[in-house]
Formats: sequence, C-alpha cells, structure tokens
Amino acid sequence: MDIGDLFFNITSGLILGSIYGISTIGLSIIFGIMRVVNVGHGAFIMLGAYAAFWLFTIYGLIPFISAVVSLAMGLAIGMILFYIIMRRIIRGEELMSLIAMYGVGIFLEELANYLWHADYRGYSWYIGAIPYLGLRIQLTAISGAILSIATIAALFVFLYRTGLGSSLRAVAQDPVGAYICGIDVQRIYALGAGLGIGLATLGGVLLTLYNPTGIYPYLGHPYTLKAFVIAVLGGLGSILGAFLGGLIFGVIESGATYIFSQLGSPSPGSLALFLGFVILILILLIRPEGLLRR
Amino acid sequence: MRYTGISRLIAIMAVIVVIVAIASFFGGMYAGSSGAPQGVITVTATEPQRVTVVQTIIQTVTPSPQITTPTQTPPPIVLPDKIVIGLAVPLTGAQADAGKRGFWGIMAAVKWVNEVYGGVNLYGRKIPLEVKYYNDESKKDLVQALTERLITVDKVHFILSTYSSPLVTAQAPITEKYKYVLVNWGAATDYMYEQGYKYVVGIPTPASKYLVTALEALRSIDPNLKKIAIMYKDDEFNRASGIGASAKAKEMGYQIVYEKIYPADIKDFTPYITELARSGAEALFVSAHYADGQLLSKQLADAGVNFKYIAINVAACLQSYYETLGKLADGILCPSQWEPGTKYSPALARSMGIEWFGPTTEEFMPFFRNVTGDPKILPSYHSGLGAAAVLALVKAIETAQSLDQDAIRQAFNKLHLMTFYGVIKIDPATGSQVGHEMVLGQWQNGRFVIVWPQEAAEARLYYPLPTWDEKRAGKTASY
Repeated sequence: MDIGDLFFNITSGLILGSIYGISTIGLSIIFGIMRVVNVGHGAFIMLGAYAAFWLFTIYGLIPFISAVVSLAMGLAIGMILFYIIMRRIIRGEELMSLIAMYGVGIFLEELANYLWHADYRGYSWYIGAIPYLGLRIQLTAISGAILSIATIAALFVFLYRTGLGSSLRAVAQDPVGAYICGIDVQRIYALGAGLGIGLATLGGVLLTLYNPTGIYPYLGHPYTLKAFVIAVLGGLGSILGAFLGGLIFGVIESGATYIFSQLGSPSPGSLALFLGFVILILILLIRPEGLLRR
Repeated sequence: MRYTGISRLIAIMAVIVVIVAIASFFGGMYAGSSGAPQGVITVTATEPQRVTVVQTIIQTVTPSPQITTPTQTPPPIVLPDKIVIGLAVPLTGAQADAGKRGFWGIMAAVKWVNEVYGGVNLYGRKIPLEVKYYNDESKKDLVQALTERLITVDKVHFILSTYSSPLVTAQAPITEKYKYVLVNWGAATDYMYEQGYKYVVGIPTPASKYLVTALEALRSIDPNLKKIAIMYKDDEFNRASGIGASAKAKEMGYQIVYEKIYPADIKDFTPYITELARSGAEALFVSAHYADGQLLSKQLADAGVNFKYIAINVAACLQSYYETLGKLADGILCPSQWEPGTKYSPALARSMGIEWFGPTTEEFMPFFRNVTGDPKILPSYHSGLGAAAVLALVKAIETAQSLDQDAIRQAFNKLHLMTFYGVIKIDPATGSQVGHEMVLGQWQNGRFVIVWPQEAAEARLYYPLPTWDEKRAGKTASY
C-alpha cells in the first residue's frame, strides 16, 4: 500500500466531506428548530446544482457568485415553503412531515424534469490544479472546501453573535418559552426553514465545485441518504455534528475504498459503504444521540 | 424523545442495510450456479381466471388457427382495425432521458409504418399500428403493474419493453406469465437470456459484447499494447458488460493490470484513480452509465492520469458528455448500438444477401423530428433501438400472418433482415440478438463519428489520445 496515495485519498475525502457537511447542516437546522424531517432534502441540493450550472452556462457566472445567488434563492424558497406547508405540519406527527416533505421533493424533481429534461448535464470550470503527492488536486475542489469552512464559520457568528441567531437558538430549545419572552416564533421558524433550505441549495453549488458532472433532476437521492446518515452520525440537530459527520463520512468513503481495494477487494466502494454503516451502528449503540448532541 | 426515535429508526435502517449487504455478499457467491430468481418463481404462478380472460382476448383478434399462410387460406373472419402495441416507458425518473429518446424512436417508426409503409400487411390488408403507453416513472413495481394492465385491461396485441436492464428484468416475468412476446429494445443485460424465458426477443447486442468492439479496434490499431485496465459499475448491465470485456480481453491475450467494480451511485472516483495512475495500464475500458462516465472522465483529467486509449460505454456516446466536458471529451471512444452516422443501406443489405426493411436513416429523420417537435434533438442509439423493435415486430407479424403470440415468437426466429439500425437476427433458443454488431464512435473535434468497424466508419480512429493537458491547450483528436 502506498502511504502517499492513502494520504491523497484522505485529503480528498476531507475536501469532499467538508462539502457533505455543509450540505447536511440544512437538514439538521430544520430538524433542530422545527422537528420537521426534510426527506426532500436532496431535491434542494439538486436545485443548487442546477443554479450553478445554468448561471455558469448562460451568464458565465462563476460558482462563487452562484453560491450567493443560490443561498438567497434557497432562503426565499424555504420561507415560502414554511408559510405554505411546514407551518401546517409543524405540530403534527413526524410521519406527517416525512410525507409532506417527500411530496415537496418529488414535486421539485418532476418540475426540474419538466423544465430542463432529464439530460445529464455538467460544466467545466478550470482554474488550475496543485500538484500533491504525485497527482493533482483541482483548485475548484479546494475552493469548495474553503467556502464550506467559511460558511460554517459565518453560521456560527450568526447564531452566537447576533440577536436573530439567539432567537433561533431560543426557539430551537423551547418555542413556548421563546414566545413568552416576546420572540415572534412563526417568523423565526420561517427564518430557520429559509436557512435550512438555503444551506442545502448552497451545498448543491459547492458539490458542483468538486463534481460538476451528472447534474440531473434526480441527483439528490443519494445525497439525501448520505445527509441522513451524516446528520445522525453527528447528532440530529447539531450543526457542528453535521459538519464533523460529513468529514468522517468523506474520509471513510475515500480512504476505506482505497484500503479495501489495496487489500484485493474487487468491489471496494461497496465495502466502504458497508463499513460506513457499521461505524454508524457502532456510534449509535454507544451514543444514540450522535457524536456531538447532548 | 423524538431525537432518540429518529436515531433508533435510522439505526434500524442501517442494521437492515448491513444484513442485506451480508446476504447479498453470500448470495452473490451462489450467483450463476443455478435456477431462476425468486421473482420469476413468484410471477409464473398461474391465476386461472386471468388466463381465461387473456385467452378470450387472443381469440377475438387471432385469425383462425387453420390459417397459416396468406396464399393457402382465405382471410380470417376477424381482423382488427388496428394493431395495438403496449408500452410502459420511463418518461420520468432516473431513466427518463434514455426512455424519452427510445419512445421518440418507437413513435417515429410507428409513424413511418402507418404513413409510408401503409400499415402491417395481414392477409393482404394493411392494418395501422397504434401505441398505448404509460409512464412507468423508472420504477420496477410500476412497470410490472402497467404491463399487467396493458395485457389484461387494455388488451394490447403486443408488448414492447420498457427501457433499462433493471426495469426490463422486472417486466419480463409478467409477459412470460401471460405468454406475451416481449420485444426487448431496452435491456442489453445477458441476464435476460439466461433465465429460460420463452417469449423474450432481443434487439440490442447483449451487454457482454459491448466493449468487445473497442478491444478489437485497439488490437488492430496497436497490436503491441498489452496492459489494460477495466472498470465497471455495479448494476445488471454494466456487470455483464465488464465481465464480458474481461473474458474477451484475456482470450485476446491482453494483460489486465487493474479491474474493479464501483458502486452504482458513486460520487468520487479518487481512490480508483490513484490506483489507476500506478497500474501501468496504457488503455482504459469502462462500462458506465451517464453520470458516472462523466465523473470518471472529469476526475481523470483533474488528476492528470493519461491513457493512450479510453473507451467508455453509454455515457460517452451522448451529446451531453461533450457538452459537459468540452474539449476534454475529444478522443474518447464509445461503443454504441447505433448512431445517426452509421451507414446501413438497402445496397449493403443486397450485397450481403439480406432483406432490407424500413426507412433509411435519412428517411427516418423527418419522422423523428416530427415526433420530438424539436429539430435540434438528434436520435440517439436508444431511438434506433426503439425504432428497430417496431420494425422487427412488423416484420414478424407479416412473416407469421398471425397475431398469435406463439406464432409471432416463432416468426422472430426466422427473421434475418437489415434495417437502418443494422442487422437483426434472433437466437432461436434464447431469444438474444446475434445478428447485430456494435459500432465504435469517437469524439473528434466536437463530433461523435463512427470509427469502427472500418466498413461502417466515417473517420479514421485517432490514436494515441492527446493527454488531458494537451487537450486543455487546444489539441484535438482528429487527423
């Protein structure tokens, strides 16, 4: 086994994992604040990926700008969805939110299919690469990781250094208490929904910085599954946990695939996925609340 | 409480996934050893009442059993006003892109049959075709339900398959149950012909032969190249294609220095690419679909891992591949069932002593454009397959002079014809396609041109490929 190659894969896993993490945080925020299980999460990632694609191919806008546009778009969509749908299911059973958000996801996918067809699209934005351990890492991928870290830093500043952030945390902890203290809970819920969906669409843009191919209406399905695993791994509702879970998942996906392949497995990727679930089970057995949730 | 509940739910799901993975692993060890899959056993169980209904339907549309040929017997008493073809097809869902392209091909061919050919010739009477179709949403359970509906409720005369190996694999047991011929244009997996199905006839060249053309072309252009790498996706079609390529490569004396299966929903090829870079392989053969084919190419270019020759199934044949990768796509080869540039013609059929049937590619194009309503959409190989399925069915009906499923199945065995899609000939024992040959296309300066076999080629195969960096600098793969 080549140690250099192993490190290359771990680095690659960390880069991809940071993007997985940011793509998962939206799921955690919506659950953390409203207890709504957004099983349509992948559809919003898909919207973000399409935003990056269309803005690049039609207007020549680089993905950094698309990230801002996509975040704003997601915020708006999330708030609208809150007032139309989530508001009505917020006090219902979890199954109700599962079905409603599943429906939203299907609607968005089929809308995308109707508008843009089911072609597999992609774009090429090349800004250079840096040599690393005998191979190369694209600057676009590195910039995706940097943007992910910057986003989580900004999110923490927002949550812990602003009044709105405090309100969000207060509503997440105790909506009744927050209401008694004079916080407009409905407005904060809407903001939480917007933030959660906005981070999912932003995640879609960042994913295209690592992988700008295979953009199509149903691309979100595997990301939904991954996001749930990552969110549970890190602790549902925990922002830092989601990010850490993303990093762990990315490293397992990349590093374990390489190790299993070196050990002679003909299908190392499947074994790595298997290992990912084994680790998830072990963590849930030891800490059912996830890594970082108290 | 809710956190714990969700955690437990996810934990239970994860345990199930692990159990299924373990079961699949051990189950896989027995794969190919014997027998039909469980699904087949389930659906071949007969339901007497339904069988009666189907028999009644068949009797109303089937010519008298004594009538076997048009010359020997008078026309039957009852001939239908139209011959209805039933179709479940993925117009949405994961297979929607290919499904739509195939559907357009089917509709264009039906239009040609009705408007130019005049209809299906049964006892001297021209009977038009009609298509009854449903969107199966790329879902296996829906394919099965809709196929059953087409047979028992809509009472269609014939069934054309849906698209994609997983979906047709789910569909075949239903048509077998009702003893309906399934004209399979959508599944290339060899699995279809290893199950003992009696009513499945294949139009596409089986998956195991997909990459063979690319191997043969490489041997011809560079007999000294020995070290190759093979990768394939873990699904029905690509597994058959990859294993077939591997077996053929060994038979041809190639040294396979790297061979791996990757997961169906892969999002990162980095671990594979680090190994490919050290493998010493000079040529790369990949059995991929769409997104994974695009991703692998992009990540190979990103990492700067070069090969003299790269052939990628399916993904690289599509226009979207070039649109996604731009000049990086230049030089990449793709084995295809058919491309609009393929040169099959009545003259070629005559020279080979084979009957020609249907429109030429040029004659087919206006019908295709009419169906899509968008002149910018070109037919893909899915379209060619769909159209060929219609043409083969028409010829089988005319050969049988019957609408009886068993007579049509027998007639398929006798077919040996050339269409714009190529030669169609069925193996009587299994129903698989044995007459059709794959063509090999290559992206050359932004155009996907046929480069192999030489007699069907539009351009000379460009070899060796420019490196990724050379392509970024503007070098093209054209002479």
